[in-house]
Parts: sequence; structure tokens; C-alpha cells
Amino acid sequence: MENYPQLVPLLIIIPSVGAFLNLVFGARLREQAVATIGIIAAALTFVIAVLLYTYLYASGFEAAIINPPFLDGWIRLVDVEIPWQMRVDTLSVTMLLFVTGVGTLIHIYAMGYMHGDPRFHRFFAYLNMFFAFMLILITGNNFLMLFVGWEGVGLCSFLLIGFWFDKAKGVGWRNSNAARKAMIVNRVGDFGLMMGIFLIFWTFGTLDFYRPGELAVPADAHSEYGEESHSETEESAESTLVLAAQETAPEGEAEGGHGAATGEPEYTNNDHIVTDQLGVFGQAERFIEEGHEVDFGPFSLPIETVLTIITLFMLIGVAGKSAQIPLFVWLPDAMAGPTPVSALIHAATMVTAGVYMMVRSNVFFYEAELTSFIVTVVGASTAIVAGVIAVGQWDIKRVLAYSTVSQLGFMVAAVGIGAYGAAMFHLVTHACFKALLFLGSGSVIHGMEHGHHIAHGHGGHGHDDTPHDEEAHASAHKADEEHHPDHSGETEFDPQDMRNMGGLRAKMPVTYVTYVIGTLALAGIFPFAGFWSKDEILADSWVAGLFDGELAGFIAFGLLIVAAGFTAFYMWRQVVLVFHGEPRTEAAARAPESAPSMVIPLLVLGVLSIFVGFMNVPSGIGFDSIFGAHVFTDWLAHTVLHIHVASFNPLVAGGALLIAISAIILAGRIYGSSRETVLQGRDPLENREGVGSLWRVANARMYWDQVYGAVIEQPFNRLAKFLADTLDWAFWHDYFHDTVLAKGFRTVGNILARPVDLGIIDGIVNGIGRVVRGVGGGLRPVQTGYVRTYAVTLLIGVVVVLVLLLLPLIQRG
Amino acid sequence: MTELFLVVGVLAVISAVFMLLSDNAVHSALFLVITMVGIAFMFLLLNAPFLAMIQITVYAGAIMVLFLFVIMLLGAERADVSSLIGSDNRKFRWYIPVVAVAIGSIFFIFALSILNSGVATRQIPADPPQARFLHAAADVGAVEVYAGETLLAADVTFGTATDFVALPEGATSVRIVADAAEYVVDVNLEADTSSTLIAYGAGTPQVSVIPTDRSTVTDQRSGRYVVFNGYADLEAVRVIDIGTEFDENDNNTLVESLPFGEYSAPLLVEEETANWTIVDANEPDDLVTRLEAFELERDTASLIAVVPLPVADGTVRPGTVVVKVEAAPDFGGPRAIGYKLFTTFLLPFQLLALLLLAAMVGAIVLTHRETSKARERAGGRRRVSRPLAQVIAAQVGQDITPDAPQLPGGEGSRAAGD
Amino acid sequence: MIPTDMAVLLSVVLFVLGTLGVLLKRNAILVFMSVELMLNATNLALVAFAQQWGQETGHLFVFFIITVAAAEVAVGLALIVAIFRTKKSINIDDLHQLEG
Repeated sequence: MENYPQLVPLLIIIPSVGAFLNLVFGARLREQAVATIGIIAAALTFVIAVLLYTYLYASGFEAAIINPPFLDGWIRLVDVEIPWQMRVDTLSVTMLLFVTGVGTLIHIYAMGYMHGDPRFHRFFAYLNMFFAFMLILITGNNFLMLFVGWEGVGLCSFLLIGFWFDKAKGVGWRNSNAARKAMIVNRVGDFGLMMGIFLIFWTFGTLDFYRPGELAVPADAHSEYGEESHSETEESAESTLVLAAQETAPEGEAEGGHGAATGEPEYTNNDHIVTDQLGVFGQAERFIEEGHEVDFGPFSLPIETVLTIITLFMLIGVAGKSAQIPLFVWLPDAMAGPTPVSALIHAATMVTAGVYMMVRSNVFFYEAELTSFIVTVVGASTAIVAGVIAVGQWDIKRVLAYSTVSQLGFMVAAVGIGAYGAAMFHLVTHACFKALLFLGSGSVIHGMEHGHHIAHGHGGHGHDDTPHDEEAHASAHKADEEHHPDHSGETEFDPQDMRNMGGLRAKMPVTYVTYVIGTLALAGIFPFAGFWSKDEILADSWVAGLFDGELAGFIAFGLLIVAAGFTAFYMWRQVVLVFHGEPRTEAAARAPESAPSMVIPLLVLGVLSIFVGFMNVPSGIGFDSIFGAHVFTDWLAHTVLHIHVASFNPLVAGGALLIAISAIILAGRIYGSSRETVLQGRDPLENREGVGSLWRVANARMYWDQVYGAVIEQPFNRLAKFLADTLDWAFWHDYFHDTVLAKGFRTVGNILARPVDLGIIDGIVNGIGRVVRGVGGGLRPVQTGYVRTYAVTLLIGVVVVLVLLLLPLIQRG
Repeated sequence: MTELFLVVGVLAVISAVFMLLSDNAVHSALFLVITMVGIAFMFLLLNAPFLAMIQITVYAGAIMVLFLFVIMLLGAERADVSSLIGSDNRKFRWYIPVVAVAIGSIFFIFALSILNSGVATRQIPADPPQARFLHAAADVGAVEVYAGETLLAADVTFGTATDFVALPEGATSVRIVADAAEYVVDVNLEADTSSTLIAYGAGTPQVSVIPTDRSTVTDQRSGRYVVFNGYADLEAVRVIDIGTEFDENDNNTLVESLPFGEYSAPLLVEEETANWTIVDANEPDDLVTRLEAFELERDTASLIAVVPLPVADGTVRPGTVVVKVEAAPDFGGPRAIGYKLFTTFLLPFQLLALLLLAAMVGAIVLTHRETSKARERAGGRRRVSRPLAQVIAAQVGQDITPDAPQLPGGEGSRAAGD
Repeated sequence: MIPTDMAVLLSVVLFVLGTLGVLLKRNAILVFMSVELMLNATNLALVAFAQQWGQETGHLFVFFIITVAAAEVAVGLALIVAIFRTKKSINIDDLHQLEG
């Protein structure tokens, strides 16, 4: 069991192999085989995640750092070493469990959903590839590995959003545009993250989260753990102190053996490690204690300021990846991808990477007060803005997309007020029920397409619906983009438009039940998962605002409780529009229930959505004996330094519940009573006094895209046009190239060609030739060919030589 | 002799002139034979009998016969109808004056330089004196001989002589270094002479200088012998050729009386196996020693020294030491030339033989008339080239035959026609 | 004893005559014979000088010259024969194909 962490590299290798197999050989394999490869790869990662979970329990929550074999170090420069190290601790295992678990379910679901797609194998290859990168992101022990995963999942997101890039009628173009939009917006965020990483490296000289042997949470870290939460009892405070290895040692023999086996002294804190040998978080703690000044060459800044800058840069990255204001605009468009992708990447896992990173960097955010405030404001306003927009949407997936943005806002706001545990809790629960909702919506869409197919005569072939599937998606997206109000559904059928639905409760009972469970969970109705997690956030913000007197807390609480109301409202609106009433179209009337491979994940996730919330129930409300109190927070406390147990405030919980239930009732009354209006393709709120204008704004998605278009796109395009037409084309090409370069070159060339080459060089060469020919011609007559001339020439030579030789003898006389 | 030279010389010149002027090539060749015979006669007069013979045989004989043979073979007796003078070739108008000037100047230069240099009165530079050392002192062991400071020879034992060594002219101090003693003799050597330094006598050796004539032995089949008396116990010795052992009448006294320390005049005796006795000059019946079955060789120069020889019982008795060298060969004779040819000029001689061989092969190849083989080869080539010729013919549109006239051939035939 | 200078003078006369023959005759065989005459003149001078200096080396040179001359005559006459065979002429003025 101690060796389980050695399996961590497999988390990356297995999906990589799966992706490789499917990418290279998938085209030749049957769908069944392709799906099997993908699902097995995903399931194996889940198994490994479970094994790691058992390891952590057995080892007393002791974090393990793994150097994968055959990879001795990663980046080595003169004095820089960035190892490829993987970290197993409670935080990463939490992420692992729900990512691999939900991911496996979505793989199974995708097997049914993507049935018949011509690029089936590629879809599964991308999914596995996404798995590999996501697990790199989660298990990496340094910011650079996190960044690798971060970029990798971004790439996979891009590939999967634009998966149907070749759809007919321009839909494929829109799909790929959505992919590009996601890519570009994420680049803005990645820029911030990179700047943050650079700054971290400059400040700390390393990128490691924690070094081997370093304790993420020293034993005495949580001395004030309970004091912050005012309703906390002493018992719970004590129980939460069971954190350090020393104290947990007596609990299980495994740890004792572990300690003995290593033979190392058990430290309860990191005081024995010099600052340089600590990870970034440990160093940050030390620096803050020492009041360290970070040297930037010409100037130096105190560590707190530097941390604020770092975290602000990281916030930009979070805003990009986790779809926060102002960079959330890509996520609704990302619904262009297949629904399993929306469920896996754009609801459950990838978009939570930002929250994960912030929780991982809780030390930074805890110390950076300004950033925390900004984070709170960003998150809370994202939650309310997205919640409002969701009310005004007709597209079933788009509503869920804005809901996702809104819920991510909840999490980010929770991080902002310091409720890291609550943020992670909500992240997990949200992953479950939002995946459930997306898969449910996929099931609905699938059913609608089938219904449409059957209704329009060319159906009747049961599940033989491959081209139809694509078509349906294409038209869905098209309608989604165009927003024409007089949408009738007759000319362009949109299976995602809720106006075309209605009455599906009878047709798709399993989907309906699970969907309602997901809705209630999301709306925060007791005892579903969302109730516990959302309440924890609200309670924490309530405490932060009311008891600690922080402005952020007030803002968060105020905005979030309203957003919670909106959540309940738009979700129940959706349920009513989709499932209740009478079918508004023939397609809806004939929609069948989906295949078992799609329904089973819904059921599993439905069960999870009900019960997952109980893993972190607050103490003191009667569940302690059943589930244990705030187990999840305790679990995370082994890794997250600045975590605290949320308080349970009956007033807040009750108020939130009341608001949610009343919002549901309100939505039920409004949409249940005005079916005629919906049948005409209009919303009942649209013409109502006071809220009509607000609804129209929400329907237009608050004009974010238009504002971006006007503020960024158009100036950018104008600048680009100027650069391209004027600077590049007119100046560089026409003027500089033609006039300066070409003409100058030609001039020099002419000079070199005529006077130099023809005159001098050719002159020399020809001159030599001419001289040689002239001399030869002149000497030609010498060679008469007659022997006698040669003889006489020889004789003359002899005479000359003789004269020279005999001169002394001649002169003697 | 000078008259003979003048006559022969004038004859040679005249026949050479006639050779040039003769219209008939055969006559020219015959005149040239006369000139060559004249030159051979000159060789004889100039102490070169061997070359004279070769001149006659090789030149006047072989070469000129070859010339005549070729002339007659080609029928070219009248080919040289006229000399260049009077030729209508306008190209060579400049030729006669140039030749005249060149010939005139060469004749002038030669004549002037010969007359001015006085070559006939030049003296041959003298050779340095040659000397050798003969160890004939029985009591002295091996010695080293120095002339001045120069080591002539080392480890010279009794009864042996060194080679002849060139020594500086005039007085030279010769040191003979024995084991313990050193004997110094001052000798005076003249140029162009050869001498033998002989050490003899019991006890302290005496050194005498004996002139040794190594020049050509002019008498036929004879050798040159010098007898030296180095036996101190007798006043003088007599050398008698006893002829046949038992015939008292054919005794021939070669040297009547030779006192101690003296050497005889050179005896020129024909080669034979002789029996010589050396007797006391005063008591002719008292035999000193004898040279039995003594091989007399021609063209040698020998020295016979009568010296005391140690015998086994420690006493001495008279005996002889003979050293012999080759005499110089006859100048210009075949022996002299052969000697040089096989010593100094051996490599050029071999190369010359190779050259002759090559010339023989070359002459055969050049005169060999290419007949059947050549035609066969031409036929073979034609078989190969005919398709190619047809291809070319088809391409250029002209008939190309392998028998098309070649450019040099056409020109050559035209030249032969005029 | 012949005075060396007289012998050498004779050789000069013969040499000049040979030179004249080489330069003026048109018959290739006669030209060749004139060359032989020149060689003989040279030989005479060599022998005269050898006698003057008492050096047999001069005789050796004469020996070599005679031998080389014999070889030369063999090859040269073969050449003349070959030329005559192709050109039907041994007039050296007809042989000027090497004209530049």
C-alpha cells in the first residue's frame, strides 16, 4: 500500500497510450473497440485514483512526491532545476477522484452519444488526451507542470469544441469559430498565468509547490482553526487538529511502520529546512514572517506586494480558464462541442482547474488581501451576471453553460473570502450535478433529434441516425447563433431550443427524474448536494461579512444569495419548459428515451448528486453520527494550509433554502401558466412590466459580446487592417520593397552587371584571351613545320651558348 | 707524323666537301666513308687504337652500309636534285644569310678559341706522390703508420703491405707506431711517383724508400720485378734464375750483387713459372734462400724483399717477402677501355645496352609493314561501326561511308605527287 | 704526336661542314649523313683532348657516342623508310605538316 503512489505516472501513461492507440489505429477499429479502449483507459485511472485514496488514508494523509522512472529530472539549467515530480496529497486525490470518476461515466455516455460519428475514434482519442493533460495538471508538483497540463487541456478543449468543424451550411465555421474564441480568450488568461509563474520563479527561485520532506501543513498551523468559526464546538476543534503525522501515528499501524521504515525523524513542522530548500508556499510563509523584500534590480518590493501582483496575474489566468468576468464569454460558445465534452470539460473538470489552482495557492491568496477582495468581487459578480443571463436563454445547453459560469463564480468568490474548503466542496458537488445536467440535456437533445427524425417521415429506422445526429447539432447551433424571435421550429428545427420541447416527462422518464435531481441539487434544495456546498459558501461569506466585518463578505453574500435565487429560478424554468406541459412540437411528442449507455451514467450521477453533499455536512445539525462532521474539510486540511471549517448558520441556510424554493415556485407558476406565450416563441417575462427589459438584456447575454466587439474586436480589426493595408502592404511592400529594396538592388545590380562585370571582369578575361590569341597568332609563323628552320634556330642557340662558354678563351688572346 | 696528319686531315676535309657537293646520294655516302676512315686514322695517331678499330667497323662498316642499303632500297640516289641554293622556295630567302652568319660565327668562335687558348701547350697537372708501407721487420709486431698526423693504415702485420695512398708532395714525416716504440722517418716524395716505404732489419727497424714503377709494362707479356736486400748478415746477395733444376747451363744471373739495404733495377721478365735462387754474392755456392715454382705474372709490378724470417726455435733464417700490384694498363688500348667500362662506367654501359635494344625493337616496329592484321582490325571496326554510320547517315540525310577520304591522307598523296 | 690544337681544328672544320650539310641539304638521308659527320667531328675532338690530358674518359665518351649513333641511325633510317613509304618522298621540305 505504501507503494501505491508509484502508480501515479500511470495516470498519465494510460490515457496517453489510449489516445495514441485510438489516434493511430482507431480508424481501422470498430466503434466498440475504440470506445472500449477509451473507457478502459479512463476506468483504470479511476481505479488508480481510488488506490491513491486508500494509500492516503493508510499513510495518515502523508503527501507523497513521485519522481517518475526513466525521467531523471526535467529541465536542468545551470542553477535551475525543475523536476518532473508528481504529488499525491488530499487535494490532488480529491481532484483525481471526481475527474476520473465523472470522466469515466462521461466516456461511457459518449459511447452512446457519439454513436455513428465518422470521427468516433478521434473523439475518444481527444478525450483520453484530455485525461492525460488534466491529470498532469492535477498531479504536478510545480507550477510548470501545472502549466503544461493547463495548456494541454486548453488544446484538447479547442480540439473538442471544434470537433464538428466540417458541418454543412456554415455551422462548421461557427463551431470552429467557437473553438478559436475559446483558444484566444484562454491565451489572454494564460498570459496572466505565465506572468505569475515567471514572477514566482523570480521571487522564490523554484516552482515546486512543496519539496520532498516538506510538510504542506505543519502541525501547529491550525491552532486558530476553530476560533474563526464562531459556532464551532471544542470537540470539533480538537478533531480537526488531528493533522500531523505524529498525532495520527497511533491510529494505524501502517503509519508506524512507515515511519520506522524510512527511519527519518518525524518533524512536525518545516523549521529544520532552510528557506532555499522549501517549496514556493513554504518560502512565502517564511518570507512573510521575515518581512522579506524581493529584489527586482532597480527596486525592491515587500513580499506582500509581490504576492498581490502574483495572485492578480494568476487571477487573470483563472478568469480565462474558469470563465470569470471578463473572460467568461468563451464558455457559452464552447457549447458548440458535443455534449459529453460540455459535460466533462466545460462543466466538471477543466473549468475548475482555475479554482483548483487558487486553492492550491491558498497561501498566496490568503496573504494577498487586495487580491482576495478582487477575487471575491469578480466571482460574485460573475455568479449574478451569469445567473441573470441564464434566465434569458432558450438553448438548453446554453442555460447550463451560464449556470456553470455562475457556479464557478460561487467557487471563485468562496476562494476570495478565504473559504477554500467550501470552494473545493462546491467544486466537487457541482461537478457531479452539472455533469448530470449536461448529460441529461444531451439525452434530451438526443431524444429530440430522434423524435424529429421519426416525426418527419424519413425516420422509423430506430437508432440509425448518424447523419441526422450531425444535422441536428448543426441546425441547433445555427439557430442558437441567430436568435430570431419568430422561431417557429418548422423551417429550421433546433433540438436544443427549449421552445421546441415540453412534455418530455412522459417520454423520457429516467432522464426527467435525474434531471430534476440535478436541478434540485443545483438549486440548493435540502438535502441534495448543492444545498450543502452552496450553503457553506453563503455561510462563510456571511461570517466574513457580518462577524469579521469584511466588505468582501457583504458583497459576496449579497450577490451570491441573489444568484442562488436566480439559479433556482432558471433551472426550474428549464425543467418546466423541457419536461412539463404538452409537447410543443411533433419531435417532442415522439422523442424516445435514450440508450442504456447514456441512461446509466445519468442514474449514477443522480445518486451521487443526492448523496455527495453529505461528505461535508456541518457539525451540530444531527448528521455527525451518520456521516461525520465536515469530513471533507478535515481531509483537505492535510494539504490546504489556510482552510477552516465552515460555520453552519441556520438563518443563512434557511433563508437560502426559502429563496430557492420560492424561486422554484415562482418559476413553476410563471412558466406553467403561460404555455401559450411559450408556444409563440416568447418568454412570459418578456412583456411583463418591470422585468421585461431586464429579460431582454439577459436574452441578449447582457451585450457582452457586442461590447467586446465594439471595444476590442473592432479597434483591433481596424488596427490590423491599418497594419496590413497601410503599414505592411503600402509601406513595406509597395514602398520599401519596391522602391528601396527592389530599385536599390536593381541599381546595384546594374552597376555590377554593366560596368563591373561586363567592363572590368569580362574585359580582363577577354583581354587575356585576346592577348593570348594575338601572341599565339604572332608566334604562329615561327612554327613553319620545316625541319631546316628548327635546325637553324637550334644552331643560333648553340652559337649563343658557345659564345658565352668560350668567351673567356676568346678574350685570353 | 705531322705530315701524315696533314695529309689525312686534308683528305678527310676534301671528301667531306665532296660529300656535300655530290648530287648522287650514293657518292655522298662513299665520300663519307672516306672521311670516316680518315678520322679513324686520326684516332690511331691520337693514341686511340681501339676507337680507331671501332670507327672502322661500326661507322665505316656497319652504319655506312646501312645508309647505302637504305639509299638503294628507296631508290633515293637522285632525290636531292639540288641543294637549297637555287631553290625556288621563296619562303627561305632569309635562310642563306642566316646560315652563313651562323656557320661563320661558329667557325670563327671555335677557331679563335682554339688558337687563343693554346691548348697544345697546356701541361697536365702533376699527380700527388703515391706511397705504400711494407712491413718487413720480423721483430716488430703490428704497427700503425702515420704520415704526418694522418693515419695511413692500422694493424699492419709482418709481411703485409698497405694500399697505395696519396701523400702530400715534398718532405713528409712518417711515423711507425709499434706496441711500445715509435719510429719516425723523414721522407721526401716527388710528384708523379710511386714509392714503397719498407721497414726491415732486426731490433730497431730501418726504413728505406723504394721507387715503385706501376706504369704500363711496355714489353709484351712481361712483369716488372724489383729485388731488395734487407738481410743484414750478408754483404750482398745475388739473384739467379736457375732455369731447369738439373741443367747447370741455363742459369741466368738476374742481379749480380745487391748489398744490404739496396734495391735492384726493375727486372722485366716474361711470364712463366720460374725457379729463382738467392745466394751470397761473395760465396755463390752458399744458398741464402730460394723461390721455387715462382709465378711470374705479366703486367704486374712486384717487390721481392730478402729479410730474416723468424723460425720456430727462436732463431732467424733468411727468407723473402713478395708484394705485387697490377701495373697500369696501356693508354687507349682495349684493356684500358675495358677496365674503365667495367668499373666506372658500368651503369651507363648497361643503359646503353638497353638503348640499343630499344632502338632495335623501334627500328623493327617502324619498318614493319602492317599487312594482314591491320586489315583484319579495320574490317572488325567496320562491322561495328556500320550501324552507327547508318544511324548518322539517316540523321544528317547524307550518305556516310567508312571509306570516306581522310584529310591527312589526301594531303599526303598530293604532296607525293609533285 | 699530333698537336691537339691541329686535331681540334680539323674537327671544327668537319663539324662546320656537317652543319652545312644539315642546314642545306634537302635529302633526308644526306641530312642524316651530315649529322653523322658532325658526330664524328665531335669524336675527333674528344679523342684529341683525351690524348692531351691522358684521360681515358674521353675515349669512353667516344665509345658511347658511337654506340648511340648506331642506335640513332637504326631508328632514324627506319623512320625515313616509314616516311618514304607514306609520303613517297624523303625531301625534308615536303614534310611540314606541323606548320603552325
